[in-house]
Amino acid sequence: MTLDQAPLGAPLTLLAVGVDPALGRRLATLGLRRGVRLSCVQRLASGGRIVAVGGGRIAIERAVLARLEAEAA
Amino acid sequence: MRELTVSPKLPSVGAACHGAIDEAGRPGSPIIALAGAPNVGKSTLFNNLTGLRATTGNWPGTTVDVARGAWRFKPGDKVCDCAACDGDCRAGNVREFTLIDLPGAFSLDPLSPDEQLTRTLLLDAPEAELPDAVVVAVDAGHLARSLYLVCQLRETSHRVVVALTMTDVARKAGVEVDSYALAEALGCPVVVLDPRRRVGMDNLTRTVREAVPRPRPTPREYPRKAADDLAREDERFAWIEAAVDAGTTRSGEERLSTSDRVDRWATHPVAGPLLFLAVMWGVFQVTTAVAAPLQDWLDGLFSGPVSDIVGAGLAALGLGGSWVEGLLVDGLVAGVGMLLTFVPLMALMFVLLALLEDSGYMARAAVVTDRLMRTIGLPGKAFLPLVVGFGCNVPAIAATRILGDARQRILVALLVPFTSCTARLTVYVMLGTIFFGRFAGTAVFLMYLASIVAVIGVGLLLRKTLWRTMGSEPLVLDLPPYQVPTARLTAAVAWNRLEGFLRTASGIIVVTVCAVWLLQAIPAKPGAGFNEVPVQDSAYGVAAQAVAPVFAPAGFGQWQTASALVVGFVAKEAVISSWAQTYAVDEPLEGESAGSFGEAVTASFVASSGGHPLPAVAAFLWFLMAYTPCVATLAAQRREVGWRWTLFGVAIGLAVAWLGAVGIFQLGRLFW
Repeated sequence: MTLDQAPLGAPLTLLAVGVDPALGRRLATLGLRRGVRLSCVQRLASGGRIVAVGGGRIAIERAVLARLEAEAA
Repeated sequence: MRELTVSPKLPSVGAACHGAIDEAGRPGSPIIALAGAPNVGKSTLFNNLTGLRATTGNWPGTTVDVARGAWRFKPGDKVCDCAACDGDCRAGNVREFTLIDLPGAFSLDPLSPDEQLTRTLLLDAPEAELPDAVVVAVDAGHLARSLYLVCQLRETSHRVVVALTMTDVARKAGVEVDSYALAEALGCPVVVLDPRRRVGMDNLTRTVREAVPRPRPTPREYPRKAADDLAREDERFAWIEAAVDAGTTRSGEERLSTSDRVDRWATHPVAGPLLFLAVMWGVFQVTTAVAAPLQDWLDGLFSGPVSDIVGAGLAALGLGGSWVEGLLVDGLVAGVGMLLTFVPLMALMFVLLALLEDSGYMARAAVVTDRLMRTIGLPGKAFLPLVVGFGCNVPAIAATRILGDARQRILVALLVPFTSCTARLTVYVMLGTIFFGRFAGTAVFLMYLASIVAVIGVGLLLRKTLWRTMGSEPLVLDLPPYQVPTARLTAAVAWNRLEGFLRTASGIIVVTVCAVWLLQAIPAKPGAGFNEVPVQDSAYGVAAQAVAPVFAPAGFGQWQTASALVVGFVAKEAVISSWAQTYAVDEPLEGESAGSFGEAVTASFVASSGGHPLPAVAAFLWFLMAYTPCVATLAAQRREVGWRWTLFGVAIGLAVAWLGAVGIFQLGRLFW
């Protein structure tokens, strides 16, 4: 599933990051890279979400979430 | 946590001092760069170490420029173990460093101009100009992401010292950091500190003093198989993961924090925007309601006893009734007094905004407004420079550097002047109090809403005409945890802004009051000598009368009002003082005593609007909000986007201001 479809609060493992390299690097430095454990903790306007990863919280819009593949951890 | 300061085994000591000369530090003092990811307490650390006041805030993008300051040591600080010297043998008798506060950056791979600046200063500069050491502020609560920059710096020959902040936040989240093990894993010293409470500063000073004389370290080795970019990144993350594993222990699964619970409301799709509006309304309501009695008292003080004392002093010197009395009492005392009546209001507002910033709420405001920003093709983080603009437009223009796309930067630089700065607030409050009485707070709040409407409206207009193809940066915004604001930091930030406002405003007011007085003393028509001419026949009056008809369709075509707007082009801080000056030296209006400024302004609006003063005041306030904020903003715009766009911005501002004002008055007078 992609992160925009993932249930809130469920522990997930990130499988793939299908964004352009520059954004991928930014996401990686924020802790969002393949194999990492994360969860979606809050819905935002227009389908965005707050993602909890590595102790941090990142607000991400829907279009980016739709490019992040994850599975239940 | 075992120790506060720990160092891995490093090569033996040598002597090395930077020979550069810097304006902030003493010539020859070593240069230390302060780097780190956004929002890890870097600027607070800089302020503590240098005693300076760089802008701080619990939100990304606070530092977009490079600040420099002298990092002085306490006398007698001993950094070596030998008994024979005074403690300076290993530090080359260094007494201070020059500390450079770099813009926040997660990595040395820049996505925006502020991050590019950090890269240039740390990597691309000639070797002789590289800093002698780099202190990297690292957030213990988000260790992995903070260490990417450390990892990249360890691949260079920089002397790196890690300043580990927010260990208290990490502990609350169930993360314990062993700084000793972390230092071993990173291959550089780690100092635990709390810049917000000034804990650990001496340890950091001692550690950097020890590090500077040492030879530059050998860059970190990485496997040859990591030759291409992707493999190299994987290797970096593996290195970071190993360091985090070695340096931290985590108790249990990640759990919902207090910040998460607050964010359920603060970033909720419906409740979030409502809360944002309520917070902003509260700020302006509290500000005006609480400050009003103090303002009245100060007004009485300056227009009464202070003016009387100065007048009596001048009379004793034989200058009573002379031009000197006019300039000093009606000009400088009235102008500076008017400014000082706004000190309680400004102080209160700066404190409230500092509390919001330090708490972490402003980053949520950027998330909440993201959707709104997207309608004009801008990412949510474009809201951050616009928020800065509500304080002062000049740093807001500089803050556009946090945006990666050049066209987005130009668009935001053109929109910033529509954000209502605190200098404009003085006029809102004055006219709001005169014309709207107990609804003054609501009137001021509406002006801020009007400011947001202007930003969105002009943004949409430009998006639909000039930048139809402009792409939009996706929303990926780091949200710092909420924190209880510290009184010291809040007071320091508020005082910093208040002092800056007063320093700028007082200088501007003294100069403009003198300039206005001089222009009012120069006769433009024959028949009167210098300083004997009626104001309407002076150079000032004649110029204002030439401009005034332009504003007649907007209901404020009186020359005194027009003159205030002309002065406001230079700086909004001087609007009220020069306006008051005009009435103070003018003949009393027919049928009215030479009463207070409020009475004169009311009479003026009644006369110019044909009996519809309220729509005329609303139109005037709109004009004041929308046209060019000040020449300093123009200078900042020219620096960031060039003359062509700056002049375009002036034209847009004047057009929006005039058209809006005419529309408001013409429509308003039908009902009001």
